Amino acid sequence: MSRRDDNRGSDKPPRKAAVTTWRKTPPSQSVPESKKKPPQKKTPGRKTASRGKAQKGHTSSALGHWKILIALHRKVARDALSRILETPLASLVTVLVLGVAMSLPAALSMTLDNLRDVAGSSQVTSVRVSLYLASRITDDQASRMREDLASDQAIKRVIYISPSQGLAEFEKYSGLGEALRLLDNNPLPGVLEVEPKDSSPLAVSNLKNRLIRMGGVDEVRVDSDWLKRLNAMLTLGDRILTGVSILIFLAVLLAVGNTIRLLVVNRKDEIRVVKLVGGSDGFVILPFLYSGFWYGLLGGLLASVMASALWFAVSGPAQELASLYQSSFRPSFPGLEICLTLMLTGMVMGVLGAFLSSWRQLRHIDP
Amino acid sequence: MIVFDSVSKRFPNGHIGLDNINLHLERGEMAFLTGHSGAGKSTLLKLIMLMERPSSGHIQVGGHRLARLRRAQIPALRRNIGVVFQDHQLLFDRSVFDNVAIPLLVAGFDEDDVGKRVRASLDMVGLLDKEKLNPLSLSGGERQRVGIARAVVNRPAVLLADEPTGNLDPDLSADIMQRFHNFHQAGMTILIATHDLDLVRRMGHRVITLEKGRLISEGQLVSEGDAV
Repeated sequence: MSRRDDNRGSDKPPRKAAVTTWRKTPPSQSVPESKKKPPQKKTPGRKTASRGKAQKGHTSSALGHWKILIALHRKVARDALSRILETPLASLVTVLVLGVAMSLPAALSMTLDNLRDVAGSSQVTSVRVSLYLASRITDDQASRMREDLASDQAIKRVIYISPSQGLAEFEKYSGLGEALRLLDNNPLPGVLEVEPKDSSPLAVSNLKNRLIRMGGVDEVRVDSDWLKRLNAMLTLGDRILTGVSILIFLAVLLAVGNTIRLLVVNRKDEIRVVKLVGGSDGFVILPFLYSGFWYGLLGGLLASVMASALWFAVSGPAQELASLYQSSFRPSFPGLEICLTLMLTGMVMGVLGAFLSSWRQLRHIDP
Repeated sequence: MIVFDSVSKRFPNGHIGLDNINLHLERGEMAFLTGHSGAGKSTLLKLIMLMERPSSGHIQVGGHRLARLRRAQIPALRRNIGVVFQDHQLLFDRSVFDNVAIPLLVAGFDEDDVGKRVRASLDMVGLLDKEKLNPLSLSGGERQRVGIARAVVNRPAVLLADEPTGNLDPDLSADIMQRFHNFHQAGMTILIATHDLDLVRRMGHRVITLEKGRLISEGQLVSEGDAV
């Protein structure tokens, strides 16, 4: 009995410190260990080891804390990934769902980007004002008009297409040259193609009003209607993209959430035990967040691959179509940007989905 | 270290688990909790580690009033309490080593330290050679010892054990009890629920006897008569 009291007396200060502060860091508890007798042979080794640790903990406790935290995260991340790889088939289904879902907005956004490129390239879409000249205007007169216009402040460029040039072009592209040759003389008027500096609708219509008053001009046509339509369609497309993206985000959240929910159910025992030995809610949820993270990342990766595959399938025909419009347009490859966006979004959605689905559930698993 | 102040626990089905328990366990004290099954031993232990909440009364552990602990503080409490569960509560999806390491990972020990402490703990219960095995391939007694190793691996201030020697043969039981005694000498506060009265008598520590949720006797067991 007296021996016990001695022990208690001598142990009291360290124990008190360890217990009443309700220790948070590991090293502080290693002190009572030194009092332990058996197993004898182990004691000295452990004693020195724990003293070393304690000292290290004192000198760089903050740094050590972070190191341990990082090590923990790495371990948890690794475990989560290997758990996904352990059940390849079930995981694949989830990843596929995520990939397919996320590739949809990616493809849509790619399409819109490319269309915007088309709409933006001056070659195809810059506003052009065509002045159809009266038939009495000779080539010389037309050339003089061209020079006049070229010096105009509001005009960027003027091209004169003489009736014979027009005919040649018409023959080349329409295939109706034979029919035209049946006519006695060239029915086509000379055309001055004016490219305004400012392509805003107001400026163009002002210019048009000015040009129509020039002598020798039969008709002025502004070729911008289809551009307006394209722009309207692009705006609509943007809206649709936003809507689809939101829906897809929800779908990804639900898909990840459901997978994680099952995971939580399957690992209920583990969660119970971890909570019993003092695992905090954060510690318990961490593996699930990492599972969500990996699912999201893999889904994003797959979506990137799918978007690229889609590009390969579509770019050939798209180029062909563009060449029919005398455009050298080439659909741009889904760049790094879109892939990174996909993966990043996947990760964020994965973690968020995991969090939303497991937080309440984990709190309710109370040992 | 552990103070029960007129604590009662009534279960939702009307069963009275504990009835007006007053109990004081000194820091560093070792005590046995005995009584027939259903007397409330497990319930009492569960109250200490907040697996259950009392219906009335106050409990203090390590100077903390449990009723005042916020949800987020419970893990910190449990990290200071090692528990040997009656049903072991081992995980069968990982090795013995990984099972014992859980409390250390939870408390944030670094990796080298985890290895050392886990092996020391396993060595203590004589299972060092089985660290790589799955608990499924162990006998009941061995699982029990893994549970003990896990309970003490992070040197908790308080050790609770619910029938720690229930599945062990007498020699091993005595050995485990000796280990507990050593922890006690190292300053751990220990409360062991058991109905192995022979063993209790041999150890010669304070004995708390429960019957139908009431505390009927306290003190050392001297003769057979005091046991019941």
